[in-house]
Amino acid sequence: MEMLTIKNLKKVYTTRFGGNKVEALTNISFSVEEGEYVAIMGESGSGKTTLLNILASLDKPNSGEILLKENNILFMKEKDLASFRREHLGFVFQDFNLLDTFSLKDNIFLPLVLSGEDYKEMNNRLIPIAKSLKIDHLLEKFPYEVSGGEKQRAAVARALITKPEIILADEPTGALDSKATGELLNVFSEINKNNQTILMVTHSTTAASHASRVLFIKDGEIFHQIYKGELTNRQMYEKISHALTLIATGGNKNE
Amino acid sequence: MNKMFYSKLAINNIKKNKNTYFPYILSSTVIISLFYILHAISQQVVGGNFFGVGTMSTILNFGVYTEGIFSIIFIFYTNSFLIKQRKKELGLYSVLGMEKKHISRVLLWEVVYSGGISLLIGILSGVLFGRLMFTVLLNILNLSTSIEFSISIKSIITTMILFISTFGLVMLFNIIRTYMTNPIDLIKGDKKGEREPKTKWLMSIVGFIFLGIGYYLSLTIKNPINSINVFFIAIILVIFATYLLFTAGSITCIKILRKNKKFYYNKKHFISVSSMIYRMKQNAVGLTNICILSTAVLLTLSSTISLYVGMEDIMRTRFPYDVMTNYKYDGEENEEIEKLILNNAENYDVNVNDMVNYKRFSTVVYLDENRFTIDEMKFNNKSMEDMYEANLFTLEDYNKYEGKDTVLNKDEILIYTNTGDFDYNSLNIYDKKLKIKDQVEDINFVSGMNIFNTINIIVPDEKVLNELATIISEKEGIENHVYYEYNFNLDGKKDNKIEFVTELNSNLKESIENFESIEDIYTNRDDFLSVYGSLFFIGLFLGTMFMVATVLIIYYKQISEGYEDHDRFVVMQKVGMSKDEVKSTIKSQVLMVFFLPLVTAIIHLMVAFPAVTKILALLNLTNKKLFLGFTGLIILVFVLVYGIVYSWTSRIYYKLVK
Repeated sequence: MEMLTIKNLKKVYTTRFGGNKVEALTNISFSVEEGEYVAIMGESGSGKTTLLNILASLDKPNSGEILLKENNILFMKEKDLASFRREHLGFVFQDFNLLDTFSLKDNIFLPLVLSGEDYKEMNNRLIPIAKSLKIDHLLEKFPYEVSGGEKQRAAVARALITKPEIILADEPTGALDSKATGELLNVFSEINKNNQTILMVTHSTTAASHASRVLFIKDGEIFHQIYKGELTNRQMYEKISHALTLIATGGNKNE
Repeated sequence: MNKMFYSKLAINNIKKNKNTYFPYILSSTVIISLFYILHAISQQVVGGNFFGVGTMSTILNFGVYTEGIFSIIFIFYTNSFLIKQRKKELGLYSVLGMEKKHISRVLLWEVVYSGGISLLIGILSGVLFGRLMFTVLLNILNLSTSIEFSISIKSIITTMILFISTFGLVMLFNIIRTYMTNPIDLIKGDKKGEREPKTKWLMSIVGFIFLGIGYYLSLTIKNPINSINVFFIAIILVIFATYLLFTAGSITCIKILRKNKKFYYNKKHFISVSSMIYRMKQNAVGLTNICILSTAVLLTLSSTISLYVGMEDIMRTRFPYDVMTNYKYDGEENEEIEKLILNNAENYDVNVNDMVNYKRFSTVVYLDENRFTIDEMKFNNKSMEDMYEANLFTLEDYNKYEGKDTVLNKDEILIYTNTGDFDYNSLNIYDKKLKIKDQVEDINFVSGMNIFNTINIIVPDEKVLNELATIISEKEGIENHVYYEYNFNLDGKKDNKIEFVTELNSNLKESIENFESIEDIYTNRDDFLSVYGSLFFIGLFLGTMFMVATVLIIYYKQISEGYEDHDRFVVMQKVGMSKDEVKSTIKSQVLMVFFLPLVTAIIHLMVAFPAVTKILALLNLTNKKLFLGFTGLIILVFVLVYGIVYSWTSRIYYKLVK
């Protein structure tokens, strides 16, 4: 069953002075199955972040369609978008985006509190998630008191606690050291095994090699895709590296 | 060349930071020009030659000192805001390879330019508006004097010395600050995760206790003469309490709220509660200052304006009649007096109206419950609260001038006290016991001071009056007499009236043997004008300066909040709040932060109100309604100004956040 379907997405930015037009996304179409773990790769400026912002409904495309299950999120009103985002999407960001003024526990509770959940229910949901992410002993601490890896795990917990249909991760390993990166990717694989759909944007080959499918984006278009199938992480890593080299050296559309 | 570089960089910095620099320069300019004007005016007045010049120059001098001290404090305070804002920028300079001495040189030039501009424009506008303000003062004082307002070189020099040294200190402070910090700290500035403030139970409790004691003291002040010290203690306690409660108390309260899970984990409170802890931590001191300044503005303006406007009332309490003359009574009244007054009036082309003529015996007594006492032992332990000015009148005079037809038996009296109801059936004037028939209203035809407790006693006839006078004089061992008075109003030209009074005075001295004293409202009015008018004038200056400082602090607070809230705004949106939700939570917090000091100031003012009313009564202002009205008006104006400043700075704030 298709969880997320994207059709003919196009986004053009107009620069503030001079009116130059920059095409961030030319024509993007793909879909994500339920329980799938998809990584999107591409160089800086390829349109990755624009794509993710549009999926997160933080930005609007010029044309195209986005269907999350049956809902076309582009037709939603600004008012409903916030709660939609909160209840159906989970976000993990490169720079964690935890609020300094909250303890980790309160940071994780934030989306639930905004949805008006009661405290008991929130606590019941938190305990198993915190245990599986190994942050149950850190819940009362504040973001400035814990390490980057721990912060990111708290952010994952915040994304999971609303039981979202899909998790959108934007360079989740970007600010982590290699050990913390490894741990976080294991966490992602783990939650994916429990049938959690994940869409991750990254330019780390290591991160992408954990995904079940990797999409390559270049100059605002889907350029190539690789399925993991039965490959090991290591084999997948090599395959991705190969593809990246190919993309970097040849096949420039504008040549 | 090198030198030029630093000064150019400094100019550039000022231009680039115009959001923070412009208000700083503007407010310094206003403060400097206010100081110059006040100083110049006080110089002119000292040199002047008119009635009341002595008291006026004392009051103006006091104003100059106060204004000077606060000017220095404000410039320092605003500078520290300014330099905090620019931490990051200064850090960047060091990263780009500027040494501390180079940065210091840039800062030095910045102070030279910003200070120089403020000083120049300040003095220029001071010279320009000085004449206007001087005219305002003369109008307030109702003076037509020949002094011309000229540019005062001495004032210019004093202003220059004061503010050049202030800016010099500011410069020193900035340079020391640069040397004390390292570039990484400067760059990171506020980025470092801030520790959650600890709950300070002790400070909060002490704050509450101080506030309680301060309020209690202020509310229970009965007689301001005895308790002026108490009132000052109350003020100091409340200032401390405000500081403690804003810094520690607020955080403790919010943390208690946070402990309540049901309250805290609610969409409406969740974000506000947690961010308020940090907001209060960062802003407590600034908010305390705003609160205390606001209270000062409100108090100064409302009391000085009331005094000034209520002056005619004050005069009328003190002088129920324009001219009051007083003679010793020795059994009969001299009928020549009235003739003399009327003759003189004719000569000076003035009309005598409403003449009253009554007998009176006055003394100071200690009242022990319902007994006059002079017990030596008790005297020493007696406070002024039991001291009364006692006035005895005859029923005949009372009925005649109050339009009554009361009848009294031989041992009956009527009584009035200004200290509330007198709950006794009888009054013992030493050994003489008198029955109180009734309590009456204040007697209008008598001059009142209201500083003292007063007891007015109306006795059946002249015989009783004389009898009581003898008893009291004997007991007190002081020679005291019954006096009679001729009091009246005058119509005519002011100069004629004054000449009339002078002439009458010498005539009475010459031809009336028992003549004691003559008082008139005219010269006294000028005297009062010079005191209350100057107080009002100083009140306007100090009020304006406090207002400028308050506005500036609010402005800087908003800007610094805006920069910090920007990041939070982004995160909250990403986590699933709509733009409107984020905007409304931020708005409610900012609103709370900025209106907290205003609300507190108004509460302080309301608590101080009864005490201030009593102090004003000491200055003869007994019209509570007038004071209440002006206090209300001033609060209204202040809230309006505050609101305008708030909404104006909010717009800048939202620009920063977006």
